[in-house]
Amino acid sequence: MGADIFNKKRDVTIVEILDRVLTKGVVISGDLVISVADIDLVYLGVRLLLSSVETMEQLKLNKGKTGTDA
Amino acid sequence: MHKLIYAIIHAKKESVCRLMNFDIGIQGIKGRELSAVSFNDIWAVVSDAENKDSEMNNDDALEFAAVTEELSHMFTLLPMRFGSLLKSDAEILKVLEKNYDAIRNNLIKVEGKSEYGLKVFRNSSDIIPVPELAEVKQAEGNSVYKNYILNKFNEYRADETLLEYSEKLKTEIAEHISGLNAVIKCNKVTGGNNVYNAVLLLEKEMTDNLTQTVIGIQSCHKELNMMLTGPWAPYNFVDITLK
Repeated sequence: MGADIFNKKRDVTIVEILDRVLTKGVVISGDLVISVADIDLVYLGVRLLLSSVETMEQLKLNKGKTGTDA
Repeated sequence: MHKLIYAIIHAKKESVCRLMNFDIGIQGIKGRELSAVSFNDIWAVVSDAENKDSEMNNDDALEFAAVTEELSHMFTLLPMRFGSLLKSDAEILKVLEKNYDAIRNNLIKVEGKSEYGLKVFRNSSDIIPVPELAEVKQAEGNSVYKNYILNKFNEYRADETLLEYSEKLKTEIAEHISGLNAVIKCNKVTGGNNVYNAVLLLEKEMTDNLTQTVIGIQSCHKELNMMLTGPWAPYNFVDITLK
C-alpha cells in the first residue's frame, strides 16, 4: 500500500524528470549548452516544459552576452 | 568532441574503477562509454559528446537523467544540469580543483539523503467562495469599468483565499513531516488546482516513514490529491555554480 502514493503516471513522471535535469542541478558558469528539440514528447505540464526551454534559451543568451566559450 | 558531465560523485578509487570497468553496466547517453576525471576524492562522471551546436532531444535528456539516477544508487553525488559541456578532461580537472571546497560542502550536505517531490492538488472552487450576491447585483448596474474593477477585486480576493489556504496547508504538512528530520523547500504553486508544491531532502532510510506520513495526511483530507515523487538525486538541494 505504501508505494501507492507514489505517482506512476508516465507523462507526469517525464515532466518531473525534465524539470529537474533541464532547470536544476549543478551549473557551470559559461558552459556550453546543447539545444533540446523534440519537445512534443511531453504534452502534459507544458508550462513546466516551456519554463525549461526558457531556461536553456536564457543560458544561451547569457553565454552570448559574455562571449564565453568554454 | 566535448565532454558531457553527468554528476560529481564522492567515492573511493576502487568503486569508481568498478564503474568504469562496466562491472555495473551503466552507459552514457547514445550508448557512449562513461569515464571519470578525479581531483582528490571527487570525480566527475563524463562521456564524449557532440559539438556544442548539435541538437539533442528529450529522449537524450531522459537517458541523461537515468544515468544520474543509477549513479545516485551507488554514490553520494551532485547531479549536473543537462547540457553542461566542457572541452576536455583537462578543463574538467581545472574546474574540480578550483571548486573543490564548494563541491565537498555540497556533497556533505546531501550525503546519504534523497530528494522527494510533494505536490498537493485540490479543486480550487472548493476553496474560493462564489462572490456574494449583493456584489453581483451591484455589478449588473455598473459601467464596464466598474465591472472590470469588481472582477479584478474578486480575482484578487480569490488569490488571497487560495494563498491563505496554501499557507495553512504548508504549516500542517510541516507539522506532520517534522519528525522525519527533512529539509523542506516550498516552491511556488504551479497554478490551476495545485495548492502545495515542495521538495524534501531526507535520509534514504526514511522513505517508508515519508510514504506513511503522506498517506496519513491523505486519509485525513479526502478532498486533497497528493502526488509524491522520488527518490531523486538532490537536484533541488545543490547550491553551487562551478567557475
